[in-house]
Amino acid sequence: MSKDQTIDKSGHPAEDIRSSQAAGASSDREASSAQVCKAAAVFAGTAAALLILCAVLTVIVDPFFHYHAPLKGFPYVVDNQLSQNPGMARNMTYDSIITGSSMTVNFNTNDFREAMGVNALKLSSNGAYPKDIANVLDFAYDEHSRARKASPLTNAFIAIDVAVFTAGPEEVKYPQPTYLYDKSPLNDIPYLLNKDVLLQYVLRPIVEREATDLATVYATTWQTEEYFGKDWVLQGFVPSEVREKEEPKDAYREKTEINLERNILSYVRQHPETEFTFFFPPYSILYWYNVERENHLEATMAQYEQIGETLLKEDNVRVFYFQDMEDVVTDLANYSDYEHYSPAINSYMAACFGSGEHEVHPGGMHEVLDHMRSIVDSFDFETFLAPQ
Amino acid sequence: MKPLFNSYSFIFVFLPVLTVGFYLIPTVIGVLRGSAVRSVRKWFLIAISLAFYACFGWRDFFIFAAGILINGLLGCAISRRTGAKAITAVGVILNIGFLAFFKYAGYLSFSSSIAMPLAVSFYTFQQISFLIDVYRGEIRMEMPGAARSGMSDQVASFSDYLLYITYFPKLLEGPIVRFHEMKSQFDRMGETRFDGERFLRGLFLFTLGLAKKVLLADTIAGAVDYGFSVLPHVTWLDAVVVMFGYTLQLYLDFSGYCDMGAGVSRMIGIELPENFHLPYKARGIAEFWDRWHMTLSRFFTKYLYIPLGGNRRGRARTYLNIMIVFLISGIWHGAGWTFLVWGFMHGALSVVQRALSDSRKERKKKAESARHPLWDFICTVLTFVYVSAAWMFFRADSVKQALELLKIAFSKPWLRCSIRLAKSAQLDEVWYALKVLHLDSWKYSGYICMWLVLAVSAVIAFAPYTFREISEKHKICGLTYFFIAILFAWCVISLGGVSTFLYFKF
Repeated sequence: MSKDQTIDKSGHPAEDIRSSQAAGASSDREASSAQVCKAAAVFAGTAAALLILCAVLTVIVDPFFHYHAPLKGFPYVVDNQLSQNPGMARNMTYDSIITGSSMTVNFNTNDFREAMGVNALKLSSNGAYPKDIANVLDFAYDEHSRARKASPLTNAFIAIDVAVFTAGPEEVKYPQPTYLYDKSPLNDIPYLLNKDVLLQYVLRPIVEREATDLATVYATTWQTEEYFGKDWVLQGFVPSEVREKEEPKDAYREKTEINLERNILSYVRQHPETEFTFFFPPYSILYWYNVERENHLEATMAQYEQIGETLLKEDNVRVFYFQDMEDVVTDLANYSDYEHYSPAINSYMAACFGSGEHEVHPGGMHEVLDHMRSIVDSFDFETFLAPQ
Repeated sequence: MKPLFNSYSFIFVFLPVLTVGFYLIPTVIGVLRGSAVRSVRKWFLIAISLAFYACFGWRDFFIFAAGILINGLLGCAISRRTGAKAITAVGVILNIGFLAFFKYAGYLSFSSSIAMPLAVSFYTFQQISFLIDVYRGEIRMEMPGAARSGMSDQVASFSDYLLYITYFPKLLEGPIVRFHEMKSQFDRMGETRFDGERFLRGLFLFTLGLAKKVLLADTIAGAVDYGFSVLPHVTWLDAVVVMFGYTLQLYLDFSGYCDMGAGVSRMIGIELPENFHLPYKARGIAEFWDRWHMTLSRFFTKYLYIPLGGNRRGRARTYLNIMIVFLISGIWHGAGWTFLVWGFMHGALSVVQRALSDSRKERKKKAESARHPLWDFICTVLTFVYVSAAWMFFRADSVKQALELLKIAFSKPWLRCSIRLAKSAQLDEVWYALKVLHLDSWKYSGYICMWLVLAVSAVIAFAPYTFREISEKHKICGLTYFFIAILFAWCVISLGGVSTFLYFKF
């Protein structure tokens, strides 16, 4: 401190905030009642008009489909999974859904129409935990929604990423805009008076007129050729730390069982009218390299078997295992990183859902996992990862 | 529902409940006047303040409530005068220990899971201020149940104490008010009538504070966060933008919060002390601390610097006292070496400036050059640069990271700014404006928003008047409030994103 503050005899600093009040109360700024009333009326009227205008525009266009079906001809931009999936699930017209993590974003719903004759809606949820999948199913099965009143849900295509099945059963990947998840209009203010909604999803589409094609919604279309290939993948690949102690084989059993029961099987059993198609996405061979370094190969294999066989006990379930496509998973030209594959792989998988190739039947998980194990055991990682 | 001032829940729920409830109370009570109205209003404010804090979590609320109870009992015990010194010492140590535990438990690895209670740094200092003032006889705490001895700035009933600590417009981030500043206003609450002009001026100040935070500080934060995330790759100009950008961001964020609190408080006729007075216009570090977080400076002066001896024990001791105050200020702001370095930098320059001003030769020279505008300008610029450099230790995750940025910022100038940095500080409204003006295809259009926001922020930081002064002096007219309404609506619809005040972690 450069100086001691002047302290009066009662111990108070000489400066008193009341002096600033007195200074402010000069006759220069005293306003007449009429001026004050007019200013207050102008403020209230202008602010209310602007906010109501914003809210009305949002309700009319409803870019998050929270209140009604999409307006015909409006070039909607759909790129916000957390905010738009609930509304799409409730208010669009479809009979099938595709959901799960980013392993589903590059599906083209036209492939599903071609292979199986279904009208699918993609409701991908990047990084989805089992509870995220359950949330999507809740929206899709809302019997009061426009979508379910129009037609039942006949198919659900769901990606299974085993690693997330040890998450807490109520855990979600990202904080959620819960005001879009319920039906109460009382908490819709963050949607109705939201600059991002107004500017990015109401006005910008009007200016740019580039509607999102729902057949490829959420797809990583920005990833052109140079984002795929061994060089690209390896430059971003970080090998896991080697773990000395092996994870016990049943390390993931209990948590996996809880997630399966609460977040997946409950919907399968409650909705026999829906055919559930679960698939294990074809991560690249580098995924298995890390599993080995982390020393939990057997625990992971056990988890795959547990999930697959448990699901296959249900009559309205089909399970597909794509991970042992050796030619695909060992060729990094098909990948943009150690787990994300090209859209061509998605198209192939969609065709397989129709043809039945790579489908696993009850008791069949052991065989496909043995095949996967043999691919991993025989793969020469050292040569593969050596600098060229 | 977390009712930060910049949230829908505060603007559409808390604020209407506060203002309508406060002014409706006399009507509801009916013909009662005087003390009954005052008492009911006081308890209404206490209830709404406690509800405000409770919205942020029950755990923090119970910790806060426990602290209020314990300190209240200590205050009563001190007022009895028997063993007052010892009880005061125990109270101060308890509060400091409580604060130190929560601030440093995680850092010192006692436990990584202990979260710091919201606003603990602020309300703990309020408690310490209260206890010491009671000990010094500046406040006399009434025993619960005792006959009231009349209204006086010095007499604290339990409800006075409770409202002083919990009053929510200053609870989360200050200002750190003194009891007597609030008591006289609490005592007059019975007579407070709705004053349209005062209410409008409060609304004016609240809106401007909200704009500082939501439109400016949060926008600059995008560029600052991006710059720190790609630090090894930033250019000289990027580093300069990040450094001065953070300087402005911190000021707008913190002073914006204080303006909002002051505005809300003014709407119900209670004035909070000023906390920022254009600090970046300071011509030296001492003046900076007379303008920045003024109530914290006041606290440290009264309760630390002066008890240490102030400037009354010779030059060497004065310099030591100054350094102690700033090091403790650093520790108060956060756990970690970065905050200690930040405190040291301010302490060191304060000591140097003090030493120079103590020299007789310098005093004479100062008197001669004091009013030279060029010298003032140079001093202002140098102070601003030094303070900005020190803020890097405040923001960085480590001393190394701060030094890395400063090394780039003070290296050879290169006038190239990363487009990604610029695009991290974007307002969609500017995109529309550029589109309308057909500037969107200009190759430098991506930089316009960032530089515009920085320029507006700099103008506010170096303006002749604070928003607080403008709110007090401007002429009330329809046109002014037309524009304030537009600004208010613009801020409200900008609340949609996630944001937290920078000083929240304190």
